[in-house]
Amino acid sequence: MSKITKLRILINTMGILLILILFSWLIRKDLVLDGKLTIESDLTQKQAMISVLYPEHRTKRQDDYFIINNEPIYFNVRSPIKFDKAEVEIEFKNNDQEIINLGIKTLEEGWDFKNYTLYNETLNEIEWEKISDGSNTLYQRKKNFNNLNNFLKVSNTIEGVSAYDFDLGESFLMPDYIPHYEEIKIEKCLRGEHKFYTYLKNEAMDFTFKIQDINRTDGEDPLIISVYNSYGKKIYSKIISDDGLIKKTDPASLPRYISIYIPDLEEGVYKIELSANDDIFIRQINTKQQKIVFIDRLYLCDNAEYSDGFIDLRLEPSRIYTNGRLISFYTAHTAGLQTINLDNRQIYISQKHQWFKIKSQPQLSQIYIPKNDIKISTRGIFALEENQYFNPEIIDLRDYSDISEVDYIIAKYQEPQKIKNDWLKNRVVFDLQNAKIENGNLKFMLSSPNLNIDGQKIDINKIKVKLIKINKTSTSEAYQNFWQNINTKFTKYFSLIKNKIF
Amino acid sequence: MSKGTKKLSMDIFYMLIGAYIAAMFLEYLKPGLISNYVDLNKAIYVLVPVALICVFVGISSPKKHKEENYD
Repeated sequence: MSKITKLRILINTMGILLILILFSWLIRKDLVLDGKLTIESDLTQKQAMISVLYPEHRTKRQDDYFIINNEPIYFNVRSPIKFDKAEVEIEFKNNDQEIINLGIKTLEEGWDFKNYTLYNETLNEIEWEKISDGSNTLYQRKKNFNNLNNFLKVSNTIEGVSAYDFDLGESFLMPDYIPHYEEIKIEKCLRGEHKFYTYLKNEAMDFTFKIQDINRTDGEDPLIISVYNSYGKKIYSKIISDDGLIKKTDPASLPRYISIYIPDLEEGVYKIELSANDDIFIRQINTKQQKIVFIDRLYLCDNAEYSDGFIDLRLEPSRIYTNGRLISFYTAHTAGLQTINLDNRQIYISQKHQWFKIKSQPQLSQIYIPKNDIKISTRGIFALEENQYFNPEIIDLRDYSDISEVDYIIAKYQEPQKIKNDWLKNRVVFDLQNAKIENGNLKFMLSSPNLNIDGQKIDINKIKVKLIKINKTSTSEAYQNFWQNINTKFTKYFSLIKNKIF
Repeated sequence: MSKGTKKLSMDIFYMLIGAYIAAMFLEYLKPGLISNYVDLNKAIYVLVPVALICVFVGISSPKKHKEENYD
């Protein structure tokens, strides 16, 4: 064997070994065997483990920080393995925002984020006794508890307790509720996706939805109905596929009646989600339930704008009731331009495709909408009739207001730390059990309801994400899972190629 | 350039191509496995010139040998 052949064999062996060592190092690093991964970004440089803030048109780079001038904005964080907990720390400067939320995308269908509070001015300024355990804070009107554990042991037995982003494991009950068995007709046209609460006691859940597809956009328009119990568990789901007319040149479809009947349900609040795009119109709801309140969003559509599709619209004004503190209105058509009345204050919807916002009083507000064709959004609930109103969220206060019957507020929130000048730092801890990992990424959302009013903004300087796996897997188990995943994907890929060729 | 050097250059070229294909395939099977730690776009700037040099050396005509043959 010549000298050069020997050298060639040596270099080849070394090269192959080097590549194998590099790949094994990468695989080992990716398995995060110690169960902890910290990702930090000052947002000035692109990193593989954390994305930039997007959509980019809602942000603006300023020296070494970013200005956020519209909401929501998102960022992705790579999650090589399934972690149990994420601690997200953000350095920010708040410019007059009352609330800033940080959310994580969950496994729920559609656009669903579990939001927690990064900043809440009202909670920061509340002059009650405060105790914090690092991620939760207990606010007491009068100091009766010295630590959170003592309070949590008895929280189910004392009165005047409410929760903010905190699961107390309690469910809302209405002791004076008596079921009526007469059918109620809600003859309001509602467009697209809606969610609502209803209350049941010794009665079956009984709803019939009259739906129609206006076919203004191409493609199928299915409707997914999901029912959740008071513990947030999905107990029923039904997919209503498109009626077959899918082109935007097709006429509006004929009415279809979709019924849900679920007997033997325990007393409590139930959430019903109607997931659909804006081609689907809910023309009527027939139900035997007396209490119905819509969550966060209403899209009223009894307007001449839709006369091309439907001839039987009820072109009459709407009067609705809400407990939301900041209410936003939007119309997409000239026919929806109008003056809306909120508790004797007027707001003129003067432009299409623009949100108009108005603050309401802490009590139940009444909104008068003369022409409909309006999308209404708030963080709270809406009732179409005053007698249908109830507030199942009183136990889970989403926006604190000084309610006299509340003596304790337990919040998954801690006050931000002051760093320097006006910069603040706060941390939100997420349970990743229900977090969605999409293409190896966790998706986070930063939002603040007032952000797109009057040029208001938030400055963001730094994001630090600590991913933690509480129950660490052994090295052999981690490798076994890794190869199993690779093998499954490889088999899938191989069979896909095989099917395409043969 | 000697025959041995040419073969060695081609070996390095095949090794680089093989490693890159393997990396891409592993990345496809588990997104982020490679790209989380190695910038594959920047790696191209190193790999392509090295691979080109290897190919150039590998396919260049062995002048010395030709001269030896003519002799």
